[in-house]
Amino acid sequence: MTYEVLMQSLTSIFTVQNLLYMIIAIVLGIMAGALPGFTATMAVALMIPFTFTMSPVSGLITIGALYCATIFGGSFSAILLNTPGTPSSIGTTFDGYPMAKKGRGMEAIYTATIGSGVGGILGTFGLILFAVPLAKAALKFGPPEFFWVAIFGLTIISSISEGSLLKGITAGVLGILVSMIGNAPVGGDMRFDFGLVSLQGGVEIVSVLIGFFCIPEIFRMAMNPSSKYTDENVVSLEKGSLKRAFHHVFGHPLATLRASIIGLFVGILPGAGGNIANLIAYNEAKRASKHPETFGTGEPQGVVATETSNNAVVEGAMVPLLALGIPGSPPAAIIYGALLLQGLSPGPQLFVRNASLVYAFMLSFFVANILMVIIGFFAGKGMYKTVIKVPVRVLIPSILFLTILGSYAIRNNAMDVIIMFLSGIIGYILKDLGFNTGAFVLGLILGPIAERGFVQGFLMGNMVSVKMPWIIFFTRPLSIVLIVLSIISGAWPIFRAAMKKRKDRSAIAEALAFSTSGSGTDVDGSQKKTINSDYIGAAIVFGISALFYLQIGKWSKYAIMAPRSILILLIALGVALLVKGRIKPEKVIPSFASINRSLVFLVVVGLLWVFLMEKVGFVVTSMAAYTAILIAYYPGKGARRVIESLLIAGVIVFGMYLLFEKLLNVTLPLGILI
Amino acid sequence: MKMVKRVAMVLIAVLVLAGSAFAQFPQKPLSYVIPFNPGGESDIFARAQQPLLEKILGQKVVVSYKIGGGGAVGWAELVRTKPDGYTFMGYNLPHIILQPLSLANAGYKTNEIVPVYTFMSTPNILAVSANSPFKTLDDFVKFAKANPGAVTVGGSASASANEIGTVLFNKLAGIKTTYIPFTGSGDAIPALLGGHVSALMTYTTMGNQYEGQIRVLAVASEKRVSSLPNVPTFRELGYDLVEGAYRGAAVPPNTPEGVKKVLADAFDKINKDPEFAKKMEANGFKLEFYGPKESEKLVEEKIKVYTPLVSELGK
Repeated sequence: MTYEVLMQSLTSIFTVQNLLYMIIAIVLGIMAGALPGFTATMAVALMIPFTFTMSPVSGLITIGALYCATIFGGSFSAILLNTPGTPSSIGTTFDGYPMAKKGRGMEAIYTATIGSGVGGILGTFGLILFAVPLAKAALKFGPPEFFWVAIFGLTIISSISEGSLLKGITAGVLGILVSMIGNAPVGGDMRFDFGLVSLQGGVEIVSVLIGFFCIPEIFRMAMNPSSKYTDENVVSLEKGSLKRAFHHVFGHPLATLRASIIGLFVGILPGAGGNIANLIAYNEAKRASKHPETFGTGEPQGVVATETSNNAVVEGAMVPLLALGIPGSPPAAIIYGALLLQGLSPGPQLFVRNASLVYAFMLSFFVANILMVIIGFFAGKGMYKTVIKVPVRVLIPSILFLTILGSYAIRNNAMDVIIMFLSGIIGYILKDLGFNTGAFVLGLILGPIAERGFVQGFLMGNMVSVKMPWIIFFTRPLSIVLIVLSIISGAWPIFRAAMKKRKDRSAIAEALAFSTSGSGTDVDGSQKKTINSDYIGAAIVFGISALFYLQIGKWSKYAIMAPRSILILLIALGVALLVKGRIKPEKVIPSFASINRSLVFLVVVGLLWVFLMEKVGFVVTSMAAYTAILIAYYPGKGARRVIESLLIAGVIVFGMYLLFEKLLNVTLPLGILI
Repeated sequence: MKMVKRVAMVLIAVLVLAGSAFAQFPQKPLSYVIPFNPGGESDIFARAQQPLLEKILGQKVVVSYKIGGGGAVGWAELVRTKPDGYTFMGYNLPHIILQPLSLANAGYKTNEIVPVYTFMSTPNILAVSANSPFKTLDDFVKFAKANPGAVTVGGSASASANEIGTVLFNKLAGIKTTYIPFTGSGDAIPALLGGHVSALMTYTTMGNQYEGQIRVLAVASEKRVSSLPNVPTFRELGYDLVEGAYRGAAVPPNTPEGVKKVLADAFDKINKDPEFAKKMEANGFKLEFYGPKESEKLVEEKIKVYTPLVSELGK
């Protein structure tokens, strides 16, 4: 890059107009990201038409800023509501939400803000300095490598479910099975659609995420609607949060750098994105930590890892796009389309023909990330104050409303809303039984990548040997590296657990499968009746396996390959659970023992809401359900509770209706009424 | 006489009213739904049409997505949408023919997707990476003959124009290659550039976008395409292969003819806009001008071609 090109690029960024566009894009992006279900892809797609009226430089800069901000905004709902605003913030819920519950929400948000900015800036350095060689390196990843990358990702299960590895693996395999609903990646057969056309598109990950992470929290709130959002005194903990946040990010420079590099690399791989990067970064942070046991209980380093990495993904995704013309993520695919329509063909020629434009776009990420941090401080503070000020009884229907809106908006599919709520109930039960819902989500995300890599790699193996095509998975150097990494990553938590219990003779066996988590057991188990969670888990596993087995039809050879192996594995895991339930059962207090009327009411209203929405109409059902919940949880009686409830519900439902239907062009289901 | 005059006047009034009712379509914003991921061929084309559609129809046109099942989820919904023309959807060949034929429960029948206009096609191309030892189609065929099954051909999706093209070419050339489906045309490119597949059966659009990085051996169109003037057709090389994907817009069954005409005329006008045509052709899209009737005929013809091939897909 010559000096002239640099100066030319810089001057084209710093115009009042461009800065204004960026600020608007960042504000919108943060809001979109914070709305559960509203992904970066959708935000970018909505913005594209506006960029057509701008110059190519302004258009690109605006989209870039929007993309960064949306990914960042996802951390707010992860921290405040335990709901990843975008799949890139899944790991942020692990420690961000516990921090918020402990009254350290402000600190968590500042940490996420600074971390995101730093991740973005480090990612931009990577993009500008190494775009071309990095893109070339990424091409070495073929289907067999993607299979192993997915396996490597799945080994995270062993780290996040240290309590009960067997149950963690079972949850992960269940997730993989559910991910197979819909079109087979090879063969195109329609699998496990249970006769429903609305299931042909597969299960939307975002709906399940919202269901698994957010709905159980709403249920918990609904058990006691007059409770407080935080467990502890907030005011005293707010002081100095900014200072502590700076320390979390800059006090551990190596950890921050590691997370950024992970984000950048995963972002470069076409087909892998922030949803995977943030989990890998989380896992690596935990592994490197001197006190891994604090992870999951409100460890700021967990937030730093996920948020730094997911913002480095944004720049990483631009690497193959700009260097080779290959979009590395769905939002990058939209940017690619926009570039084409501007008459610019992304790829190596772009660097030659439009160098100043490309460099202006890349350099603008520095500016965007700095602006994002500044705006993020204010936006984050505002959102935090709002959430803790609103009484829990109002938060309950409001968050539920947002989850319904979000899971619908992602694909305009009413089935996604039903799946969201049902997975919330299932997630609640699974968690009670000691199954890690994070492991299930990992299976859901990585299942398709693993299957596609496996079947495509198998077909590709014909190039090596027509007789033994599978050998390709073990002969390529990069595959071997990934296999070794997977083994280390999978065995490390077991090894560490074994070292800890070195004195105990049965340590390894314990760590391998039979260790039980302490939660829910024996604390006051003497008074309440406990159940054998392993037996119930096995029953669920056998039930689901049977249900899916009956759906198998005359599928083509490559469409049935993976589902068959997964079902066999699942049945084996079910048997293992039975054995474990016999030898060393994990007893839990059944959740229905503590269910109260207030929660049952919410579940019933929620079910009516999601099932009637499409037929009756979005506005009417939302209004009715929202008001009903507000009235039911209102302290005291009298006409005031009806009027106040109707007013709140009316403003929020119609406000959201106007926002989505009129401004965001999301066509809501209006049914027979409205 | 008076009576006749009165009847005539009423008739004229009715006709004028009816006529103006159609002329008045559309009276509110329209929804243009793409049943695929944003960023793909259908989306890029729709994005370019959108501002022109708004200008011609005088109403806001909102592009949205109904993704899943290789388009099946969107089309299954289209057939259940109100047939008033305010919602129309991108439709693709061979998808809408092959899905109902090969799936037990596609959610729609081919004849329920009523095309109003077919505006473009992307012929198949056979491409290798720039550093591939295959310099010509002949090299490729010779090697494939000597190594049955060992040559891999990537393409976009299963039961697609790319897979059909590969199956047909295998037959015509008397070779056996292994078809590997990827999630989209864009996803197949890194596999080719990284050397993970021997070749790609992909669309003309890719030939333009990756110029210099890939080498196009042949194009499956009747005549050479303007965007790839130096690439011979399969026919020139002795293989009668003309295959590709057609894309257009469709409405639900029972949509009034007048409404269909308004939409068809709008798409026709856009395709004839010189600036638009130049931009899209430069990107490798081949413009087509099939009105509602011609489109239906095209679908019927293609049904005859594809039906016997279904049993050979996914092998």
